[in-house]
Amino acid sequence: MRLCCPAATPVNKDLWDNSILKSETPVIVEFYSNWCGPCRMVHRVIDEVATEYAGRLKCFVLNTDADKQIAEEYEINVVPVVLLSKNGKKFDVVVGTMPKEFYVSAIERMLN
Amino acid sequence: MNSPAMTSQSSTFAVSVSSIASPLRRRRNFPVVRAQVEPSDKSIEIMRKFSEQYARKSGTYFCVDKGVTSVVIKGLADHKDSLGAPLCPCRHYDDKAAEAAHGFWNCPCVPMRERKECHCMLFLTPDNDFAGDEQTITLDEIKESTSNM
Repeated sequence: MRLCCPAATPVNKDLWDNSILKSETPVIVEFYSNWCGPCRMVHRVIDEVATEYAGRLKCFVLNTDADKQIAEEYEINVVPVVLLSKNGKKFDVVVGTMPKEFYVSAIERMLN
Repeated sequence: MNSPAMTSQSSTFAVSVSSIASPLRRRRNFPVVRAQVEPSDKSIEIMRKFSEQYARKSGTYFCVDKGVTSVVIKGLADHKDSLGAPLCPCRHYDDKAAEAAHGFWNCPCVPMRERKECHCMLFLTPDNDFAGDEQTITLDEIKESTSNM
């Protein structure tokens, strides 16, 4: 267990524009809800990815129970959802719970 | 709504997600922030027993990571406490009370009953890569694996 390193950062509607849409670095955002079990598995993956891609990718998490406005804007009706975004535009959306390799290959496609 | 084109699902790993749109979607612009409170022991026990029984009945298994199972059972219990029905905790709703009354996503939801699709990963068919080999979970397991939340 590493305690020192970058993990995914919480984001909300107030930070959305600057953190996500205006980010010069590609970003991923995991949408989750309070009692979504599989979201916890995806959290762990996103935290690992945040460390492994530090400097090349910014990783965020958004609680859809707390931020209904963003959840609705992005038409989230199921969680977990992972949004990949580059230059303020949606690059890909992964719905549901996937193995880590699945997220990594989507990230690689976005970065390359 | 999630159109199929938006999703990146493929492969045998995928946990199915129904693309059926809720007919109850309506726009609300005020944020509702609710502190995460613990569901009642009574509801946790009801949902724990239900989960064991339904896994056996449907021939499905709990996730190999029973922390997932535990959180979902608590989520169902939380909705049972607050809404009177075990609405799926792995979806986002504009209006939870209306959804609970509608019933489509009350556990076991229609996709589970019809096609054994549980994207919440409470009930997994044996061929799912995340499936474990257990159909039982104790209250202690639930409490222990959710103690750090």
